[in-house]
Amino acid sequence: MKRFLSTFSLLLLLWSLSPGVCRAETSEADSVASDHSMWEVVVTATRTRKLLKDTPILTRVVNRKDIEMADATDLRDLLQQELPGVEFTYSMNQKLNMNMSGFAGQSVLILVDGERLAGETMENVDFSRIDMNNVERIEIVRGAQSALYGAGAVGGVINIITRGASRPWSLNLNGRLADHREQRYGGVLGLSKGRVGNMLDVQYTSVDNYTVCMDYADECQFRNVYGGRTWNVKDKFTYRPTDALRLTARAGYYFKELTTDADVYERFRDFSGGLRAEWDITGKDHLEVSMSYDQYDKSDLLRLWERDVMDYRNLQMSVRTMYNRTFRQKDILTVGGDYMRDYLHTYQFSDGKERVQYTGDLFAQYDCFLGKRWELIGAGRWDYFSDAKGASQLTGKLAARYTFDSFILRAGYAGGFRAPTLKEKYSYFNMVGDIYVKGNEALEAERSHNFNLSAEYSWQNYNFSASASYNTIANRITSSAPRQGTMGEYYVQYINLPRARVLGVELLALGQWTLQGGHKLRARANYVYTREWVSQGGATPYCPARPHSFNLRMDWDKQWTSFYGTTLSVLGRVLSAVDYETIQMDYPFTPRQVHNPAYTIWKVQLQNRLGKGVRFNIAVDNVFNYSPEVYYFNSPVTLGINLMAGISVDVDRL
Amino acid sequence: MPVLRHIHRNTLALCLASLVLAGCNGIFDGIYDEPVRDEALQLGFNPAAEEGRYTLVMDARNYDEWIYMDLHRLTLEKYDIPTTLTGEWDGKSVWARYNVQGSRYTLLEERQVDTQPEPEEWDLAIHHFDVRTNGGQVLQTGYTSVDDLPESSVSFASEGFRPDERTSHQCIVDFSGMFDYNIWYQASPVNLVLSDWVRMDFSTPPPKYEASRRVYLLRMQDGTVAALHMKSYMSEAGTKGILTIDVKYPY
Repeated sequence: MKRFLSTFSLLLLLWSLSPGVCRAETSEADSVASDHSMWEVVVTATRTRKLLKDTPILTRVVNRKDIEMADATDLRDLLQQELPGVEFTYSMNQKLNMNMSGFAGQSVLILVDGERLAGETMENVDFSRIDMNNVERIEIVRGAQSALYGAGAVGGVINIITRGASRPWSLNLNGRLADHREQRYGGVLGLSKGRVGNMLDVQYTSVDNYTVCMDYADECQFRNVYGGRTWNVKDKFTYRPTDALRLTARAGYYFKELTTDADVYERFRDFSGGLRAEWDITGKDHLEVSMSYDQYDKSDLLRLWERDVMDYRNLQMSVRTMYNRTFRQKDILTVGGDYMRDYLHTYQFSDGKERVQYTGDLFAQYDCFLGKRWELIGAGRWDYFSDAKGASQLTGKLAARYTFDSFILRAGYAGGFRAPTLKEKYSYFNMVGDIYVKGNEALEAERSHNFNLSAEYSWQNYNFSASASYNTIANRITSSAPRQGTMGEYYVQYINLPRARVLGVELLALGQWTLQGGHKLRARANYVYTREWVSQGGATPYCPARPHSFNLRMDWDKQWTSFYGTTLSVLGRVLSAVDYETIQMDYPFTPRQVHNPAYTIWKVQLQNRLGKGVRFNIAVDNVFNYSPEVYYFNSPVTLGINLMAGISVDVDRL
Repeated sequence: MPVLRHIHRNTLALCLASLVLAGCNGIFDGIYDEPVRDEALQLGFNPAAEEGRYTLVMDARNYDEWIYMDLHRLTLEKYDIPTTLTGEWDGKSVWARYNVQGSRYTLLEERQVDTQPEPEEWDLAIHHFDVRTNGGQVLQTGYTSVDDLPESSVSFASEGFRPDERTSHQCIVDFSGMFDYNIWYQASPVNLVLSDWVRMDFSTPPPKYEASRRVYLLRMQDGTVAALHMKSYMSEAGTKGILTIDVKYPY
């Protein structure tokens, strides 16, 4: 392994020192050397359209080309392949938890086209809902963003931007097969004529159950990996009655069935819809109004009774409005407000009642340019929660960008908060065995302060960036260590932890070259350091972030003939070991030390392009045949080498 | 399409309007089955149309009791499992705590307890999904419905019925250490054939269950035979431990 890494490091070094044989890539050709650009338009950091290089808050973009090259099925697949510092771990019953640089899934806001997702399991959204079939790009902003996005944006925002139809017609059909009878089939149909367009996205996946820990001669935290099947159907219709007005209607259906139990299948469904109007009132005024409906249901298919019984529903209905006005050519004032009705019915409420919370907010942001080099941006937001009397939140942010030559320096402060959810306040249910989970009506909102600093340097075909952030979190909402109640029962309860701190450092190097003979190369190395200080205070210890994580990606592209081209990609991720204290979940709940070993996973993928419309992928995932000795909740769920074969056909380009 | 049949014509429009007014609590309720409350269950022996056929519904959720059945008199009686030793030890009644790794059981500790009380007359006892008989023997048939059984149990007379066996780690009495696979068991006689009607796997908590779906024949001390079919080990509301057993006695 060391030799392998050394070889890659040497290659990177050689490339970076040999500009004489390379030339900068400036065209937008369909190649690996042109797919990452500081000229991409992003929206997440400021809620206004900006070039990536001009955004005052460092934003990471995973664009369509990255997504196609990664051949990812859903958001989990993509993020762990593309972003160091992002780790998906299991919790009980194999529900997924995300950890992004020291922040758990409930502290990272995930949006699709700017809209929140309803439903949670173990406080994380259902990542399978977000298939990669029709995603245009993903924007990731690390650090608190509550001044623009409100509750939940404590550790960052991940905004998934979907595609709309642009050509008269387009049809992509794709499929992939892998181990454990994993199958993925998808199709995207785009139709556009005049001022009307429609994009329909359908994806089906399935995978078998399999056992990872067979001999029981260890302390595996899980032994079986549950399979199942998913359906994702999404439609987006756009209509432009005038050049200045764009109307969008969307609808979606999602279905997932997990075969966790021979006689009971867990089912998850989501029904979503929305309307959006974007109006360029004048060249300087822009108004957006949107309505969103998102209903996430869970049910159990009781096979012995042939009954499908719903026991959880989270329904979020919201209205959003936002107005931008441009002053002095480039300064932008943004004001807006949101209203949401959050309905929750769950088996986790002991009284069987449904609960509703109304939230409302107002926000304003001013983006100000001082000369050619300086940009300042400030924002403030007030959030109101009907269920938490007196728990209104005020958050703010202030950021600056300074540009000179090829350097961009950014610095900022941002506030974040996470309001306690209805589940965290009112639940009371038997989690498993004789251990109960209790809500806590006295919970206070979690609040954070984020200080960040970054430097970015672009020169010819190279891009380097370094960033650091320091976060303090007060009242972090988590679950307590097991306790014994007055009736002798054991329970864990949602509590506020007084203090937590997270330090993050990220380094990124990107290079892309076109060599003589039409060989195109791209390499990206990305390292993240995370350190957490958490005052346990009687909390249930959780899997903390691994201190060091490193992702490397190298692509070699060659168009051999006008009809045939290939891209050979090597993708690797290295995650360091992590040591932490956990609690033996058996009375008297004594602490014990856990060591989760380091691991590395590498994938080699060959993409064959036939003409302009056909891509045939062959991939060997986990080429070094790594399998954990002990499967901890944060171990990779692999038994070793995984062979994948897939095809993608753009029918309209044949 | 079934889904479309359940779309209430104006539901969507009402929901959109209710964004401000609030009141819509979801759409497509019709795709789910109506919830059933466990409180409505008729516990006990419920006679079926056919003579000698019963639907036995019982609440066996508790790990700390045995439920004794008398199939002759159609009665159920609950007896708590002793947790301590209050008198003279009978030389065999113990609670034992094991660390369980698959089929490997490591004894961690053991304590003596009182003798398990039981009624004077009984035929079958159930503790959660564990079963023991009062000197009876059990055969697993290849049938998956009592309706499909041959006319009489005579055709099974020569089959290998199996008696109870004393077990040290079959009857779970304290599951709270499940996450660390440290489980308390009551040492008890158990009929391992009949107890296989529901298999439990807690290697990846929470526990997973699977019904064998087979019909079992219980040959009692007096030579009479009962046919038993575990129709479900959960209620229609999904509550695990509420058993529905199809009983044919005498068979």
